[in-house]
Amino acid sequence: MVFSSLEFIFLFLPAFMLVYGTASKKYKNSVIFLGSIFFYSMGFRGEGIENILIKTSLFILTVLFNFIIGEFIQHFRKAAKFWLIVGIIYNFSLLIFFKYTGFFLENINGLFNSNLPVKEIILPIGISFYTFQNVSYIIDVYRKDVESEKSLINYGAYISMFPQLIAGPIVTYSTIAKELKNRTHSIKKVENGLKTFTIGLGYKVLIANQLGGMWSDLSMIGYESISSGLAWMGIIAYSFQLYFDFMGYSFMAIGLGEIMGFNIPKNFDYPYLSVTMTEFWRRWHITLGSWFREYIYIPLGGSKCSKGKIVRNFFVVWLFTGIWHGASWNFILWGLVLFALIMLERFVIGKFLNQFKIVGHLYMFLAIPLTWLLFAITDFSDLGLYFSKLFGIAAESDVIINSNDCAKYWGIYGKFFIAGTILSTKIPEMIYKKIKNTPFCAVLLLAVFWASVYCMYKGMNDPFLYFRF
Amino acid sequence: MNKYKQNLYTILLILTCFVASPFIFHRIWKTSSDAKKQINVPPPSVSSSANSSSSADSSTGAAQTPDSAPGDASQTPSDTQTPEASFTLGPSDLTYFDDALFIGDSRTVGIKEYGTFKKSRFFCSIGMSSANIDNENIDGTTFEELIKNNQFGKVYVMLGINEVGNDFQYTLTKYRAVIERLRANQPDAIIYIQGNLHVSAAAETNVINNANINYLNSLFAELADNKKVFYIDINELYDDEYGCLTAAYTSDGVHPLAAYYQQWCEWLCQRTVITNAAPEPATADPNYYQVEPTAAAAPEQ
Repeated sequence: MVFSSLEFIFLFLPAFMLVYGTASKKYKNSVIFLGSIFFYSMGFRGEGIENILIKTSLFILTVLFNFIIGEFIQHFRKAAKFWLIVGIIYNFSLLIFFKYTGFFLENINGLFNSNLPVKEIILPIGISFYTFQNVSYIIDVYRKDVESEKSLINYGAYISMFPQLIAGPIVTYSTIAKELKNRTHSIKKVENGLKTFTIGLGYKVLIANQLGGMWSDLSMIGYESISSGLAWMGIIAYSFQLYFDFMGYSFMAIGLGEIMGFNIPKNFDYPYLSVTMTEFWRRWHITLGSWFREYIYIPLGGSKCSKGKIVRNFFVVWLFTGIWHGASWNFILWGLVLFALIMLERFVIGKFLNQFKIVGHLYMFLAIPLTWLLFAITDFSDLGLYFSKLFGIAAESDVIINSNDCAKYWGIYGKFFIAGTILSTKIPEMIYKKIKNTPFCAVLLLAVFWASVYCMYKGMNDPFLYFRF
Repeated sequence: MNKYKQNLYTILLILTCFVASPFIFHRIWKTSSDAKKQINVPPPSVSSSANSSSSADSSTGAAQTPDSAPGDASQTPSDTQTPEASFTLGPSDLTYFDDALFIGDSRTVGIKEYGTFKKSRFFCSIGMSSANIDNENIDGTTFEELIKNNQFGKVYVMLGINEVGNDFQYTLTKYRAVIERLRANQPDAIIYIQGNLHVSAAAETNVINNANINYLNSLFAELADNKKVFYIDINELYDDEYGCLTAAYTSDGVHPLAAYYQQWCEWLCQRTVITNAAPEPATADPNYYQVEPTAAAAPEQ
């Protein structure tokens, strides 16, 4: 189930809130656990009852398994390392199996000209996120940073909590351990949570989904037929779409968590205001960066070793960051390009960019969309074609280009570009802080909410009235 | 009072949701039940365009008019209504399209933006259908105003994909009305009905699928009289061997990639009406020996 859907907002959420609100403190975590399992299984709705049962059971089993591992590590300290390794192998084997089998097989076929059957395995949603959460937990217990959770219900509630189950933020157990056992609820928290949720909904539906239309339009046209200007508009639209989609989702997660009394950590801190790529990755998908720093970078030695080893550590982190994002070569290339830029900044140009912020902003104005390009296009020949369009080095061809295409698309999407630019700055937050508790703000957010619902309502698959071909 | 003001948003939200909930629930329920059933089940198709029109063979099926000219390259699925007419579709150069009007949906927008007919007039928009054509205001004019205030040499119409989910007979009524209005307001123009482009196999859904598109096309094709109104079908160029839009020609399965609109225009250049003459009517003189009216005897122009 997607947050930005009518079923979630008008069916699941009210029902959940009712049950959760009326449940006594003792049972609130059970409600979270069971409600979230239901939420999770609804995500597989189209796949047939067998698939739903298998994937949901797998998830529950994984939660149980990690809970047991945590307890074993805690209580059998002498064999702690053994149990830790068992746990890590289990979690990552599942992730690798579901996410990367196809990729491995295709590459083997390509290398050895073999014909291994590549059966399409449908990825269980959220697996990239809950795998990382489970692993962070057992490592934290092993390191004695935290004591193992005694209650299966509490652990289940932690991992499955629907606000962050599907798309993060990656909440570590230690962040939330206290609140699992003891948290307060209030109307004020509900009010703030709903406001945050609404802002996130607006980002996703009113900005991201709209700009997403532009990127699909470009695919529909075919990259050989777009002008240079349109290519740039396209990749900037994609950059905004990705940002507001993901940030919107994180806001919605934080808002929902707040209603339930949890403080889910923020995931974005104005990344598009960065002057270096290094800074960018401390502001974008913050919880992922923290995870890699805490569980890969620092254990490898972090920055407290020789230069050569530091570079190696960064290389490992960025290689895995790329792979985590997707099972195809363009993501690996993307990770490696980020590695190269960050190393360049660390050893050569970083100081300069930080000092002369204008240059830094210009540098990022190019670096951000260009790196997202590697993220957006999977096929390498398409990537090359798009690149050549951006820099006007396309081969002479008599493919017709609509000379009016920039004007046309600006006419459709221009207002979203402008809105996106303004919303990427701190201006809205400054305004929000001032008006947050005024009736005006309440009415404004109400308008955002209903505008979003209207878009969802219209866009619902009504095949009999609303084709737009 | 203060407590209400402090939690104003929650209160407003709950109130408005309460009011709106019946409509929202209705929409949710309708969407999930509609997704399960297939509304329009076309009757087993008798017309030849249900069999993929990718065959360029002009003697497809039983639909061939016995009197058609040997050089006839068109598909005319309806045989019973076609009066004895003779025409050929042949090549013209680009200037043929200088006085052409193109009416249609997003595929026609594609022809406008990525095709070679830079002097033609276009009345097209994404989402256009024969049901909503009169709601459109394009380049400052409505459809009615456009056809009343201008004279075109030829009119190309391609509509249907945006209404393939509506009742077929309803759509046919609407579409026929459009053609009739064109005939009335453009008495000298040749009208080309373009069959709707297929979708790729991957893009087919419950409602938008090639069986339905073929059926709709066959209904439209029956409106052709081969005197003033002709039916041509691009699918003969873009279909794969299964009667679907060739996957390599499209990204979203519904529109051809822009690069293919050039080809579409070239294909249209090859499918222009060259001759269009009806045989001589019998005279009243009983001594006049009537030659059997055949196309071969029709005067070439």
